[in-house]
Amino acid sequence: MYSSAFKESSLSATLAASPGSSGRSTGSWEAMREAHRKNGFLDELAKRWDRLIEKSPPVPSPQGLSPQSLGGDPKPLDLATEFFRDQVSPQATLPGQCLSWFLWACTAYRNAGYVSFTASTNTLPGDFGNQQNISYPWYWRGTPKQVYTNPLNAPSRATPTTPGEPGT
Amino acid sequence: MGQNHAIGCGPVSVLRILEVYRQRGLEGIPWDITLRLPKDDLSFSGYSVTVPGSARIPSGLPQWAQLALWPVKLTTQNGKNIYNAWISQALNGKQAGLDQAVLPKDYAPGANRWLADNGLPVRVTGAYLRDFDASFLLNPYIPITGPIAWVSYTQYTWTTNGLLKDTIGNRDLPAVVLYDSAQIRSGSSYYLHYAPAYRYRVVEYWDWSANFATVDNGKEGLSPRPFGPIEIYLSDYYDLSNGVWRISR
Repeated sequence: MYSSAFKESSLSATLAASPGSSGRSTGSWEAMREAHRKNGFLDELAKRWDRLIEKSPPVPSPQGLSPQSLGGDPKPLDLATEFFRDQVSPQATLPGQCLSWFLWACTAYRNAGYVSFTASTNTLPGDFGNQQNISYPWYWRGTPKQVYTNPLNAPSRATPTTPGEPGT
Repeated sequence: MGQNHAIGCGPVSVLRILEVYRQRGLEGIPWDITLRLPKDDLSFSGYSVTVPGSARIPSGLPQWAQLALWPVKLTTQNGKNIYNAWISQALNGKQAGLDQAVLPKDYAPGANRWLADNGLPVRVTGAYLRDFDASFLLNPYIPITGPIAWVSYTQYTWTTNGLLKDTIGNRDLPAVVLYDSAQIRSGSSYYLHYAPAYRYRVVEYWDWSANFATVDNGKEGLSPRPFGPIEIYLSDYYDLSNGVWRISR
């Protein structure tokens, strides 16, 4: 890690050789400072701080920004995610839950069919439609006559109640 | 008749299905249908009429179906006779505004009575959801009855699935479906509609199910658009107000 100009072993050797290193006198701290000046540890430390500051991104990390994004461009802030942070969670948060839903969907049985004589227009042949009106098109009049002896002609024998209606 | 203008989509749906069968010779419906004309109390009048199979009235509709609308006098109001159509009265149709309504509970019994009275070999079986029964009314308010309604609706949905699959898919016959007319443009949930369906689609999960049917909206006269076949939704769990019937031997 360290550069070749700095030898960790030289620091240890200097500390071990300094007088009073086992005592609590301040002389040992002075000896350590002198040793740091001599072996260039403080200069090396200053250089590394400068290098760290130079290579750090210029934008300080805002609160909530993930530390993984410090190395590159900061991610745009997802307002919805931030708003619901720690409040809601998706329904399926574990792989097992997704699997159970998938298995449930696999139980679907879909069945469809149609009558074989469906016309090419997807209609029912012979279906004359919802003819609900009794007068037209069925031709029963407002005051019908129950002519049992000639029933096929009975509707047309009915008496019209509205002028202009066809045939009696 | 009289003040009544409409004969109801329920009775007409029976006639529509019978005409489809008659033209193709399905389910033993004869080409020449003999009708046993009724008295005003729907009992046999003693007069029968055999309608030639090719007979059509000026609007192009089959004449046997016209005679199935034989006038039955209900009552006299202000010196005027009030009539209802024969098959509509057999289905206990009630006048509702300008339309006539047949309750789902009356559809199969009424149609079966009319079919039996005329010696036709088909009968109506089906399923409908009994809206506003005790379990429905108590369901949202008393938790104990919730499972009862759930079972009721569940069984209804699966019965509908079976009816559609067996009628259309297995027996190759159209079915009569009762659906919420709000699904088509300018329709309304205030009335339901009986219509022949000839396609079906069911989705069955192990714990949930739904069913759909295709009707020809161009023939229903409920709405000017869309013309042509549309797929309408019939039911799933907790849905209401619909039914499916089969007319077969």
